[in-house]
Amino acid sequence: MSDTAAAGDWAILVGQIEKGNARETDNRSTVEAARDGDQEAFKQLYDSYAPLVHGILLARAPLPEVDDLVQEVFATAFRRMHTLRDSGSFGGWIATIARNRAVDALRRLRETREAREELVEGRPASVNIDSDARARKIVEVIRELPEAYSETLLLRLVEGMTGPEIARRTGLTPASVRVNLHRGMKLLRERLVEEGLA
Amino acid sequence: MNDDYLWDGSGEVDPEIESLEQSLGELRYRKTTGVPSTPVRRTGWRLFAAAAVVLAVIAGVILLYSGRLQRVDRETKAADKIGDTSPQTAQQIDEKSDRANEESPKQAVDRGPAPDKRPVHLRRTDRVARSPLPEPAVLPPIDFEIGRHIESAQLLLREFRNLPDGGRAVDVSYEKRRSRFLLQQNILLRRNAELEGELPVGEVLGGLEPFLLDIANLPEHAQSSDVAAIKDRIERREMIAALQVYSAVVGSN
Repeated sequence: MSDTAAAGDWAILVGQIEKGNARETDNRSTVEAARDGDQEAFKQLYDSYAPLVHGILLARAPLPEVDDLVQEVFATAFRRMHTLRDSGSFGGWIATIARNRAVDALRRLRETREAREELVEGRPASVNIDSDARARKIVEVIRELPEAYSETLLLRLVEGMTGPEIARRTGLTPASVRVNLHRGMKLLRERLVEEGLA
Repeated sequence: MNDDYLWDGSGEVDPEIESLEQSLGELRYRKTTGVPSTPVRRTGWRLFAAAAVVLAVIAGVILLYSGRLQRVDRETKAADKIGDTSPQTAQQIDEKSDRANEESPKQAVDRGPAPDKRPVHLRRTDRVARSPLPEPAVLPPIDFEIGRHIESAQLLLREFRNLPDGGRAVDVSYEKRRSRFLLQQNILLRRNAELEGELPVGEVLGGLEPFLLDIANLPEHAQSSDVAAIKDRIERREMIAALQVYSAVVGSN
């Protein structure tokens, strides 16, 4: 790569980081306002972070429950805002709440399925699945990938977030996100061919 | 593979990634707006408005009965006077407080938080009075058993709501059995709450009971129309949202 091209790339990256920093500053003040009880500020956080939470839940939680769980995560975050010490880490904080909720929901679903199977004498319980079966099958394949890859891929491919956005929202470094996307996509292509979904 | 396109959508379009985006975009998070034209579950701020109403009722009545609201209110009025330039008599302060207590929870939500004119260092000291949600230290201990019951009921209603729609009869044997158990528990807990004067808890349990009763009374293979009618009422009353919020309150205590 020539020096000019490298300098150009560097300028673009610096520009992205500065834009990100500016947004981060705005974000901090919004988080602080929400922490002080400003409902409008919390609404802005909801609008900004709902896709992130949705994507994380898609990677782990029972699919029919994802929409409900998004609401639960924000209800919990709203309730616990006063415990958030660093307003700059709101994204990572709410992502952790989302992952924990997903694990709880999965555990509950397993317990419920076991109870249903006892009652219905061996007839397998079925989870209500909406239309667009192909999309859901692809999501199931993605969910079987390593967690770091599946979450990042779902945020990119389902929620339409770019790599820099994913890094900003989750608190991961851009380099980590880039690696997750690249390696995850490589694995996903192979799995889709195996499943006949390519 | 076009790494730039995967990274930030720039550069040459990768057809395989683009195809995945189009397929998977169907599952993207969508914030619902005013009046949906398709049967989309209501989400977003309508849920939080319902949640705020429930919490306002619970917090307001609990604080009133415990006497804490009166003490905090006196402290707030003292702090208010520092920043408030218009003099108020004790009667005016009492009347304002009475009006605030008389307004309905929905009016309280619509009114929103009062503008805070005080210096910043004073605002933080009475966060308890200004926060739209009750602080954990202010709420009396909430019965763990009731919390578990509410959470179980919430799960049952969600599962019932997720039952498949269709022209044939729906197998609700599991939901019916769970509902009968929860109904008995609900009746006991509600009566106890009413006897002990815990009105907000009694109201939540009282609101839940008709749903448990309806589900418990369904035949094991219920008509789709009967199941749909109950689902519709669950949605219209936003019961799941209210129970979720209450569970969150209990969970953080």
